[in-house]
Amino acid sequence: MPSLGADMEDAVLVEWKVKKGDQVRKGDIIAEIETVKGAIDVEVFEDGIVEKIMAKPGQKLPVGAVLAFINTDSVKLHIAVDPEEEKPKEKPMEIPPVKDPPESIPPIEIPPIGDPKRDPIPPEIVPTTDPVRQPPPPEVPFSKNKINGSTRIKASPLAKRIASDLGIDLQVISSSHDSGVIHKIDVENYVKTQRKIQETIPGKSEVASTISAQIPATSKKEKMRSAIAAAMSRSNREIPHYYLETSIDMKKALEWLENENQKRKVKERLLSVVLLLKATALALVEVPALNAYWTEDGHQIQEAINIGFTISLRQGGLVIPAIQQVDQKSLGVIMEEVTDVIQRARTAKLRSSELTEGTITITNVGERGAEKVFGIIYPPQVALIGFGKIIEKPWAVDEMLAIHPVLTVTLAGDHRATDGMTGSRFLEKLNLLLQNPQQL
Amino acid sequence: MIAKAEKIIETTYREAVRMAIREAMKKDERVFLMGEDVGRYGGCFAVSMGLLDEFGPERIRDTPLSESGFVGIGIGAALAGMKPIVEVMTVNFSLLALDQIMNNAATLLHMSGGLFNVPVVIRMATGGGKQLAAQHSHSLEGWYAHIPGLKVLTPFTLEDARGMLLAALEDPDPVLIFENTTLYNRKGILSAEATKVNIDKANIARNGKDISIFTYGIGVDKSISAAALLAEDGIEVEVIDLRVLRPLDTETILESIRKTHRGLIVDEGWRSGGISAEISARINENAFYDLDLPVQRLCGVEVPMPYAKHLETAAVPQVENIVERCIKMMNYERV
Amino acid sequence: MMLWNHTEIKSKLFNILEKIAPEIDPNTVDLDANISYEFEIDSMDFLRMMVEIKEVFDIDIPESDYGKITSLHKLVDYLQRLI
Repeated sequence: MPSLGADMEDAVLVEWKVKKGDQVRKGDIIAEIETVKGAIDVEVFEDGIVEKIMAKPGQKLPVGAVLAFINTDSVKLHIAVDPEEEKPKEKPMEIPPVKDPPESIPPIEIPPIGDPKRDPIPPEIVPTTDPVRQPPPPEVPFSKNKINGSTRIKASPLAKRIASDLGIDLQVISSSHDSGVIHKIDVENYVKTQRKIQETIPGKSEVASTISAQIPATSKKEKMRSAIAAAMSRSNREIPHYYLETSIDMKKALEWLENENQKRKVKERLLSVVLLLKATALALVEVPALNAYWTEDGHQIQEAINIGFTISLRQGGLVIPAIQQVDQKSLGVIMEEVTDVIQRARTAKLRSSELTEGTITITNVGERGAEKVFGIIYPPQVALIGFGKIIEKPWAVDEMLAIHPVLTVTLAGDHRATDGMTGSRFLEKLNLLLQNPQQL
Repeated sequence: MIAKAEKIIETTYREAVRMAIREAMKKDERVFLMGEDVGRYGGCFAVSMGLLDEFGPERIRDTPLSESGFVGIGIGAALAGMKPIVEVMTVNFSLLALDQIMNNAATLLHMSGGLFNVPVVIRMATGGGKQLAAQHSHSLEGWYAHIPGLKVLTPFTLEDARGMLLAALEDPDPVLIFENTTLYNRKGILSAEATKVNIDKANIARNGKDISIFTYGIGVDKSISAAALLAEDGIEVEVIDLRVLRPLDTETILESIRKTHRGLIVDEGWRSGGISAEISARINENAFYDLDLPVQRLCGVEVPMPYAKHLETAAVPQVENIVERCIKMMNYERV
Repeated sequence: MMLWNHTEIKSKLFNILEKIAPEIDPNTVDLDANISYEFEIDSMDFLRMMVEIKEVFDIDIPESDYGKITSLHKLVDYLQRLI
């Protein structure tokens, strides 16, 4: 409470013009007080962020009483809340803004004098709705822990104990604090992220049932994105990818499809993706090496051909359910199952088996317009097939030039399991199958 | 704890102390009160008001202005089998009797090979806040807690103000009781009948899970107020009323730290070598691996107590200081 | 045979679209924009829409006519001619 006159003893706080978390600049009016001389605006004399309001409107306080705390340091303020205690409010579904404003208070630029230079924040991973090739994962996420150039990891005794009890090397934990010190919450967050990675990868885990929660609210969406990010980074880090690409003439396939659909009722119409699924499955029958898992026992070829395909959710995020034994199903059945699965994926009612039994994944970005897609394999699978947009392109037919619809197919392979020869054979087979759609 | 189905009275801290003196004196002939102005004046802080009339000048004794003298007399009386309550007006004046307290009361049991107990109870007013300036505003209870052979009590609740004195009088060895002057007017409720309280355990004044505040006396009041403000931001503070500074209830302290992983000691006394340093060291020694950040201390500013009102207020931890420090702790900010 | 006017057709279409793209607001929609882009609908959703249109209007739109119904306006016109 400022002293606004030699004889002023106290005043009543009438109204706050700011609230907790607001940024204030020198000279801003932050409150109105009432003295015996009338109502007066109270200015603030420093730049900062309102940290805590102490006085309540209507309160009479003596000169010198604390009205509020304003943080003028550049240390980013956040109350270290337990991540499990997310705000209970669920927002109704709405198109989220491209970048959600951060919940925490934004930092002020000026670093305090004498503080050790803080490490730059690693580049943010922004997963797109399709697993297009990501920017390189952030360099050594624990670089923030290097303080003053030394490589000694600083962690609170509690954090060290918890990490040690869980058998986690402090090296892999990154600190959420500007000082770089690892606290209990950082270890806990690491553990939670690890669990999420287990859940989102269609491997042999049972935990995928968590994805059958309701349509993601904002906080869950963020968790999903970070889980995807973590999974993708891990995949990119651990799996030696090789990439192959080929162009496939889709004229015959699409003509056949059009013909077929004319005969069918609207409910039974087939989408082109179904052709791609079946063709992929039959090609895998011939080249089974790509339909496998890479485990600690090495290359394990799988009998069932369960093809996962990526579905982007309307609120952002990704699910990858699998259709089982595609090679043995007719196009009509595959279409039915795809329709059903997509429906349930979008309303978050997938079964855990659908999420965990995939043996290979395809990603179809064609609709969204990319010509080709170089994906990242989902471990423990050993391959990922990408289908781009079908574009009218010049094509050589009987030594003449024609315009045909062309599809660019890419294959990402795990080089530990297969090599370019295998991949090429697969793509060749795929092409042949798509030139004979009636046999699919 | 208030005993069940008893008559409840609304009273003050001062009254509670008086009730204890009165009850002790009624029950036991050997109990008597001595000190400066305790008789005719009714006590510097009005604690013994009316007692002279009730018990007479043999048992309510005005002493000369000589701390070393009358504290020594009290010790002597205790040695001879009496149960004196020696009232030293404030802890500031007890310095004149330090030799008596430290070298006689605290040590005679040891030096006599266990033969001589000194069952003296010495009550002292402590703390600042009344613009009594540098020589008359000390909080030295932490200092006294340094001395083996003494028990040091710091009651905060009304029940402790009453109960601890009664328990102290039953102790065969010297007990010092520190009553913060700001607390005398504090209102509260008590059961009409005195209940037994212990003089060796701390009390959880407020449960919490984010930060543990260890404090005593007036610090408990301020910490609870701060905790209410912090709760508005979702920070749940546990407030431990230490009650006894010697022997410290280490177990309760450690249990709290194991729960919250963040510790703050609030003490009006100075930090250097104070009771806050002792508590911090014990936590460090015994619960190091439960700490998520270093133990914090919020103590009196390291200056002789100023006279000017606003400086005196600034020299001692206030509610807003506690709030601010707790917020900083939650953000792991270095102070 | 029911004769439906423009407004009724539009409102029925919005009902269908609401099932597929629940976050759209009929008041802010651009009726001349490409449906797929405006509502972020892929081929699966589009097919669903065709199925619903069959249910509601009893009209089977052949694949070869998909090019004629690229915007809501065009779709409404198309349906009106056939109803």
